[in-house]
Amino acid sequence: MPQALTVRRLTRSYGSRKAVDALDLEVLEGDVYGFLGPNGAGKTTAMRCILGLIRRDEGEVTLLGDTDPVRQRRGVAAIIETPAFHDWMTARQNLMQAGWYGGLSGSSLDRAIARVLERVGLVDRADERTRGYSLGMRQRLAIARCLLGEPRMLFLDEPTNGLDPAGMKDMRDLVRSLAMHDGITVLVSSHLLAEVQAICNRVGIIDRGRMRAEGTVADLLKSADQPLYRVRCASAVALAEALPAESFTVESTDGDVLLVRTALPAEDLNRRAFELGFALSMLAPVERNLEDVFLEVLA
Amino acid sequence: MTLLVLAEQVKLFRRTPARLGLGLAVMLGALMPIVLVALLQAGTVIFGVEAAQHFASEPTRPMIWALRARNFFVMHAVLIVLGAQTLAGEIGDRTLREALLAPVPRYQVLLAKLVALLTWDAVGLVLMFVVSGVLGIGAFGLDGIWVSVALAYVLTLVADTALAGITLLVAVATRSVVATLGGLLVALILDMVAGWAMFVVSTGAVVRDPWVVEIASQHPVLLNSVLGLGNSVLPGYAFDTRTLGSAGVLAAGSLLGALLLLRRADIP
Ligand SMILES: Nc1ncnc2c1ncn2[C@@H]1O[C@H](COP(=O)(O)OP(=O)(O)O)[C@@H](O)[C@H]1O
Ligand SMILES: [Mg+2]
Repeated sequence: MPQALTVRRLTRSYGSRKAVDALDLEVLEGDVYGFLGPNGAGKTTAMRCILGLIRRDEGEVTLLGDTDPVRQRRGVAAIIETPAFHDWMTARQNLMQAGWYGGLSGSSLDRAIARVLERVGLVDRADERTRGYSLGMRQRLAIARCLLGEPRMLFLDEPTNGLDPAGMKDMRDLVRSLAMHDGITVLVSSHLLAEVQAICNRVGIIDRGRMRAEGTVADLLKSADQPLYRVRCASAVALAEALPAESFTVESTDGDVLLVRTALPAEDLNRRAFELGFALSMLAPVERNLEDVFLEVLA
Repeated sequence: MTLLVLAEQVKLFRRTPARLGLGLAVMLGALMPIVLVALLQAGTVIFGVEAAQHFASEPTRPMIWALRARNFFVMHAVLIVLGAQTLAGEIGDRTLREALLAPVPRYQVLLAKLVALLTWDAVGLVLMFVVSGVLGIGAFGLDGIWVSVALAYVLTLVADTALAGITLLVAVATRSVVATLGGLLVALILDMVAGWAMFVVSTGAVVRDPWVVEIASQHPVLLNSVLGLGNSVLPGYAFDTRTLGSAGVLAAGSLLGALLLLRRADIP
């Protein structure tokens, strides 16, 4: 797959503090790339630099195969932090403004506006001023604005921030459908790990302005360590002592629950416990999630 | 670029101050002929002389009054507010950021905003010219000093170009509507004081009230003279080419400054 976005050694300081510090980033076409990092990690600053909104101290950005800072924004749309609208105008009038800026006009702009309003479910409310819009509606209108020019790549900066659970789900579904159905490459920043795990195929973890780990979700979830199992047993302490240490490592005991690490399959652990005279009421693999990876990387 | 201009024009003409300003232009244009007719009909005596002897009854007379009223900081104030809103306001409320995400260079965005401001200014002038002219012709016939008056209206647009440029420069430098309005106010007052000081120095006349806006006493290259550029070709004033040159220099310089500042500015 060709690259949609390549960032090399991107650096931006505020005073003596490096908000983005020699950041490398690579997004392939068709990716839903999760740009993951704690608050203040530099995600928003990096996106602003990539999109040419703020000056960068150093670094190169190739976007959709182009290095020219103006031309490379063709085919790109973005929502940075909270989207802004002319709140004294209606949603439709705001979309007209964006359409003209994007080079659309006349009946093709009218058609595009109808299409995007339909897509985000705002047809009924399009002729209201955006001043009265809720946060969720503003977020959807912002997506509509992004889709006007049929972009090939979309930058979304914490798009579910501040939304209620239903709004978050709608937004996730929308992002997934934009990637799957419309084939748009997406870079989505977030500090919500479950969200990234749910919609992204590739992830970069950024902290203090630097890329700390990058790869497919599957890669990152893969561990060098042996699998871990959660075992419940009435006499947990006795079981922990009875299990042969050469094949099983008991990581911790908490009441009647043990965490056991082993290279052997789960069936062997179960059989062995049974042979030793213990009955297990539960035996479950502990799945690594991005949160574990995240915490390991940041440690 | 054409579409950018269209976008900025549509947006500007939707703003409340823009509509109020155009309404004001029409009102002044309609008011002045009515006032002149009323003065003449009532045989009003001004400074011991009948109005009919004071004012030639020609259609261009109320057109001049309307222009002078407009140029007495009225439309300048509206232009400054609009310039501040369209640039400083949009930096502040982040809508400029959304605009700059489009694949357009920043200088084009700035130029589109300037063209929109000047379009509004020109529409106001045309409305005023037409309304006062038509009513004036209705009342006094066709005889008048048409060339001077038309030139005065055109030069007013030139002068306002300089003011628009300065407003955009201050707007991008301060990024705040309030600071832009304040900055322009301070600049105009300092300019007035400077004009007064230069007058005092050059004539040796000591007692002179600096708060009287006496455009004739302003140094011709200063901003207050530039704002009166349109007036200066009318009877009773003296046109000075230095004022026209100053308008050009101020317009070009401020615009260049604004372009350079905006090019480097962080618009987060
Ligand atoms: N305009 C600014 N002035 C000074 N510091 C800033 C500015 N914007 C961001 N920062 C700092 O840069 C760092 C990264 O911020 P940001 O990119 O917003 O992080 P994130 O989006 O990952 O939460 C933070 O430490 C933040 O305080
Ligand atoms: Mg952020």
